[in-house]
Amino acid sequence: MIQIETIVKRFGAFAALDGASLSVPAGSVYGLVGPNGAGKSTLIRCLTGIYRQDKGKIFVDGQPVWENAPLKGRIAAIPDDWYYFSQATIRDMCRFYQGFCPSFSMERYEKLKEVFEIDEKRVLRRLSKGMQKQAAFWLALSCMPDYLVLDEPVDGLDPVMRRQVWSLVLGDVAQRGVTVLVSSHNLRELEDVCDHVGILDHGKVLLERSLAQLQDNMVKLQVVFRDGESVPEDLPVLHVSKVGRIYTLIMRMGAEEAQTRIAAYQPLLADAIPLTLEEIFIYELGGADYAVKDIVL
Amino acid sequence: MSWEALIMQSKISYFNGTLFRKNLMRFWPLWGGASLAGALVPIAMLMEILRSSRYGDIATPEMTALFYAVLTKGVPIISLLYAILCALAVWHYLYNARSVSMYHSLPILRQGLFVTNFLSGMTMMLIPYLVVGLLTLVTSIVGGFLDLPGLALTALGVIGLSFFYFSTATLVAFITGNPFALAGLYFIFHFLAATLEWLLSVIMAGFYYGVEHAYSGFVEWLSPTIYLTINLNAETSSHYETFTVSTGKTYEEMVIDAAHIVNGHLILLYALAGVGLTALAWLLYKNRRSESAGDVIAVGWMKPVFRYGVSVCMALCGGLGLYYVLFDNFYSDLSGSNFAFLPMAFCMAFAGLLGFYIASMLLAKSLHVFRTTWKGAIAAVVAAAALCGLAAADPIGLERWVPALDEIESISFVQNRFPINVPSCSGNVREPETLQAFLDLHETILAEYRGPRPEQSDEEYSSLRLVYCLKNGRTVIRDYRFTYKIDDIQTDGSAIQKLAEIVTLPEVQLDNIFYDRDNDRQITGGTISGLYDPKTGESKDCTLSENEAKTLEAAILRDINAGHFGQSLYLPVEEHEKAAYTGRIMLYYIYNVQYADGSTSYRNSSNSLSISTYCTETLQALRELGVISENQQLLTQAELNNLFTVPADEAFDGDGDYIDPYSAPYFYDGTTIIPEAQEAF
Repeated sequence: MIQIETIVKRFGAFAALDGASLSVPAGSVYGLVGPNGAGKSTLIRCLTGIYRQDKGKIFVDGQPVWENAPLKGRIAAIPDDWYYFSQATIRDMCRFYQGFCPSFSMERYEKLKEVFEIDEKRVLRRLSKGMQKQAAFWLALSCMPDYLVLDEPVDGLDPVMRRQVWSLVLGDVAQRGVTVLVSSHNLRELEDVCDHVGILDHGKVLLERSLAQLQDNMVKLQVVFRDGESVPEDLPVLHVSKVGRIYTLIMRMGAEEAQTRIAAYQPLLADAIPLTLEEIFIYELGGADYAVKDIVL
Repeated sequence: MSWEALIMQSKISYFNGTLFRKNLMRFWPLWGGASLAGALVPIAMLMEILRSSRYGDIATPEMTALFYAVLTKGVPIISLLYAILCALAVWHYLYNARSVSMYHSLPILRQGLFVTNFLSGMTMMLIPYLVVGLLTLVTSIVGGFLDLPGLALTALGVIGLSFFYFSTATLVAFITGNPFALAGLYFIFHFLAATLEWLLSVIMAGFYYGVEHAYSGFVEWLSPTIYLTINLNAETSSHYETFTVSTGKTYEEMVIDAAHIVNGHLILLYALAGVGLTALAWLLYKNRRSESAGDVIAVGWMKPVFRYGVSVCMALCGGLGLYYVLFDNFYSDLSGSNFAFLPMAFCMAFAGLLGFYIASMLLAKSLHVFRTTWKGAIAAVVAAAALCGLAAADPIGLERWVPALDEIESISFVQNRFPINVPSCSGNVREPETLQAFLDLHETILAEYRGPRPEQSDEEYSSLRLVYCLKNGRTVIRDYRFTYKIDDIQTDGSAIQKLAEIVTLPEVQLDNIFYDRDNDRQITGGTISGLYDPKTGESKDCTLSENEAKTLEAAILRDINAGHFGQSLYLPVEEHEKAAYTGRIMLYYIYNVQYADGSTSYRNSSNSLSISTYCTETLQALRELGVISENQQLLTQAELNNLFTVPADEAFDGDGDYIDPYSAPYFYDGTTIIPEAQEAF
């Protein structure tokens, strides 16, 4: 389990993390989403022991991460900008990680060779960005980690390789109980793999729930009112849009409750549709003053 | 399971073999190249031994002396340059956000990273020395001049110096987060103290009358390369041996008996300092923020130190440079001190401000610092101007300082009178009365000084350089140039009157003329040059026998003791020309040199002197020896001038054409046409 308690991380006067808290259950896939500059990468760097938080606590399996080498040996991280030695091949980096990670499995490394199909003797520097990302997954998964921390993990991978990589990660989650924290802007993809989601904005976690809870907590209603009637003012609507006579209402409540409340106005039509993660993200952050602005240029 | 893996899996890992090997493998061109370059010297020697017997007669002490010379003069400089490359190799990961993220996310403690990388760097430092040492060992064995203790001592010295230099580079590596700043700060770190003191001393000396430079070197130990290069030395004890070659000719050659290192303990002290610096580097690493990668200064509390430090350094260095470029010519005709306060304060304040903004821009990694740092900029300007004021105010009384008599071991002096061409008077004195006379003169010169001012046309000036050798081993130099009117020589208690008296003191003139009298020497003869023969109008020389030279030397000594020498030095120009003879006396000596093997050889020396009409004893002796007579006359400058001067109106031929002074028989000295024959004098 990963437990982050009100951590603060400042860069000079700027607080990249300003009291962020989150909890990643063991064996879950946790999607960390948030706008650019929300503090996702900073949080990941604090979690992997690269940055030391100014305030707050970070526990993995009940132990603090900072300067905890045995614990860090159980965490594998793939940052957005993975570092490798300039002259190194994948094989060189394999030997390097083998020397640090006690759980590194050569057997797995050899098996994954068939999955990634990259010549391990090629210099990493000369590989494409996508192939470098594959190499990073290859090595990270060979470390047999208990915790996998991924920052924009499939950025640069082709659709087939994306599925392949997620398949491998989810396989580890299912078979070995690996806990995964993944930060991404690709909400469509996260929706498919995550069972928990946390939304980070301005250094704070705005909300975190299981994906099911999140979807239950917000509803999209398509409503057609009687002639001359519009959206009643007492309805707690987050967002309204209208196409023809059809109103689309976003409300922060369950589908059943929303249907009951709208029924009081005897609409001609009222259908509840589940929101996508992307819509939840947009409407949640709209409340935090991060809505898509209607600007005409 | 490998031993590294066992260590790695232990609770706390201080060393990681994988990282160590990776470091060495990644940077093999660095230590490989250095090894190759270093190996060329012993390999070249070895090849020469194998090719010929050129080195066959090298004695073991000579080889030891060579080891020590390399250790004392070569290793500090080589290590200074090489350590920064090794430090850059092993610590460069701290300077890039990607690499520092990778290293710091590895399952190894910072202790482990520090120890492993430090040992990697030290190994890179030592491999080239090891290669050179082994090759030298082979060469020594082949050449038959093996000195194991000397080689071992050299190896220890190399290890000590390498450790110290790599420690300093490591410390600087943790102060900064930028590879260019690492190189810059490293060299600044090594030369800052001595350079700052030198700059400050130049500025102070520029403000202070007579203070040639105030550099004492008391912080030189903080600039290790300078300090070691000066104080760490290889010394040899040797003797001369006489060799006979096949042709029967003999020659002397110096043979080294033994070699030893002077101040070798300095290596140990600096190595111990290296331990402290390494510990400090570790403390900085322990608290280092990974996000400081790329920063010029990575340690928070050092940022203001850097900002204002650069400002002060620029104020001193840039201020001085700016002053020389802009203002030096305006004030160069001042007598006394060189610098004018206000221009210097302006230059220092401007350069200090420039330094402040440069540092601020480097720290902020942005050019947009003017709005946010204006308060600091004002502080930097005020501080630089205040520093200038402080230097000019002479808070430690350097300008007015005159040593006490009981502090002085000896005084060396050089006196000159300008603008007339009078031979200078110089020497080294130790007698308390003479020392006191110099101290009185020194105090009077200071008391008479009224600040910088342009020289007047009716004034002459004299220079006096005093080198005080103090009993505490220090040397203090003062160099005065003071103006006077010729009448001042008659004024009791004036500086020029005291100087005119001092140059007649027996001890002063004895050292001025017979400066090498301490040698156990014998007079062998002499010559008197510039004797005028009125019959031929030519100049001639006269040679003295050993006995004649002895007689003359005794007369000269009587004149010295009577205070006759130096009497004419400060006469008004016309009187001086009437008193000073143009001829010169040269006395020749021989003395014995004894070598360690008991053999002796002779060396020659000579003393040259001018005399004046005041040197009555010498003149009498010359007459009695028949050196000067009706047919061999010593001429004073005035007599010479009268004898050969042609009025200016005769400088033109019958056609009114100017007679070219360079086409003989005349040359023109500005006022009169002088026959070239006079040039002989």
